[in-house]
Amino acid sequence: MIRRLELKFSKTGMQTTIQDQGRESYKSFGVPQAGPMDTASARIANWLVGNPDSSPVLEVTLIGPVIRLQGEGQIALTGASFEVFLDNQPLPFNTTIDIKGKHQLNIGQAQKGCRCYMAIAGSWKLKPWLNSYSTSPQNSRKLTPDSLIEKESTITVLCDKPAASRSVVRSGIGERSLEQIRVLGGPEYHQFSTPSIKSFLRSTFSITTESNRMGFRLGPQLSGYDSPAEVISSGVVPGTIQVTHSGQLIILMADAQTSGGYPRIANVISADLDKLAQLQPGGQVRFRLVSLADAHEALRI
Amino acid sequence: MEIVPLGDRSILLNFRQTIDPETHKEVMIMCRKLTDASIPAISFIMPAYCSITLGYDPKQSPYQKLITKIKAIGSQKNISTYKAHRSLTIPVCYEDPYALDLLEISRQRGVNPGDIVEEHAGHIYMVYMLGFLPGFPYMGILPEAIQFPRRSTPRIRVPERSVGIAGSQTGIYPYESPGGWQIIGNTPLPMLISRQTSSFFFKAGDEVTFQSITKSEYQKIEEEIENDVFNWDSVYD
Repeated sequence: MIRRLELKFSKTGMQTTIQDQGRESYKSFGVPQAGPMDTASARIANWLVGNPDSSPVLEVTLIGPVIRLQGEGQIALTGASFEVFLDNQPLPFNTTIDIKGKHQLNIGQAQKGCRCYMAIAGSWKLKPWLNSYSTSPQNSRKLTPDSLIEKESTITVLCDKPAASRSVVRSGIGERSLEQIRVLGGPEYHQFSTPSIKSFLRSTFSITTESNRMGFRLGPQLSGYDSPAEVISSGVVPGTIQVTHSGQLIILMADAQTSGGYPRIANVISADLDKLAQLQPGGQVRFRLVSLADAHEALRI
Repeated sequence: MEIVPLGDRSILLNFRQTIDPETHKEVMIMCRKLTDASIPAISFIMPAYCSITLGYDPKQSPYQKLITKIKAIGSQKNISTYKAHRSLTIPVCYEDPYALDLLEISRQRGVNPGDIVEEHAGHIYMVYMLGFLPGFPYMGILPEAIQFPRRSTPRIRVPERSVGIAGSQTGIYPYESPGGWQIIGNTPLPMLISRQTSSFFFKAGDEVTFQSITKSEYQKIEEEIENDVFNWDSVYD
């Protein structure tokens, strides 16, 4: 028997989007890659409800949505810790939750970390764009209208049989307000002056409030930065750290543009992107240079 | 061709760092060769003016092995006749209400708006890359007579399908978006042809000519597209 769970948003939260594996193969058309900022959490959320990794999830940022649930199905939450209530009862993270009937799900504010993920068992009845359900960062109303979450938006998820309940123990997400982030030298690394490289590797940088899924703007500016000659527009990827003319660092994230003309001082290694994504504005980072072999080794762990 | 890592899951192939058709032709030939080689570990191939960014899965192929393969592909004999994907003719209305900045920039330079239009529509351009927005083509190279800096204050809303110029480049905004280019016209052609095929209008390597049309011709084309009777042969050579 097909069961059906309907979600209706009474409040959208600060930035709630739908994310799946994204649109990497369309980068040559200028389409941002998209996908969850914290990929491990999205994967675990899907595992908790028995979905494949490629299923979409809700990505919730800092302040969560209020959702009216109706029908029958399973959900799971993981990632940053948020205060979550189902009809005024606190709802646990990291476990499968059965839903039946009418309920109100209230995802409050992030306690630790920045982003949590909600999986819903089954297949989501949405129209994809370029083989992905991810909410487009540009012109979503036109490109991904089904994935745009606004007040009164509705999502329907169909599921045939309930999965066995699963749980997972996770710790450490958003515990630290200062993260060591490992980086590889970028294509223009050697064009930076010694003082600016020193400043890059020895300073502590803060994530400013002008940070979102497209990129994290850091402060303070690099000291001793002497803007090198402009780079002819060239490819960038999530994790690329650009330096603007004023010496500000921008770490490009999941929804970044596909190309840029600022010098690329470094790239965050893939293994450290998830913990970077969980830093709130005000959170701090220090960068440590590693080798490509180290970066690939870190992916295996 | 210089090969450097761009993070731990992509590789940058740098060509001569210049914006010119010859270098870009090399970029497109290499892209073609890489596409034809269809290496399973490669997840995307993205051409730019004088570089290619490749995505790869390090679990499927170690970096060094991939580099060796890319070098071997690069040294293969060139495809004897490289041709741009297509030659496109894009109708553009350079009149009000579309030509938001045309009057101002022609005044700055002390020329007639018509002179700028004539120059813009009088050359063949190449699509060097897509970027900034999904489907946004960076085309060039504009003749010097119509090279202008970006607007000092970017617009919060550039209307969809606006044709803009900035420096040596010209482009079309596929959707309404913030933007700083000088807007000189608008095309009636949709930049995302259909939601079903999801194909974008332009590809890197396309050759493009602009054809100046009147406001009534613009409206006619718009209607024809709306009613699915537009003659697309007039666009694709």
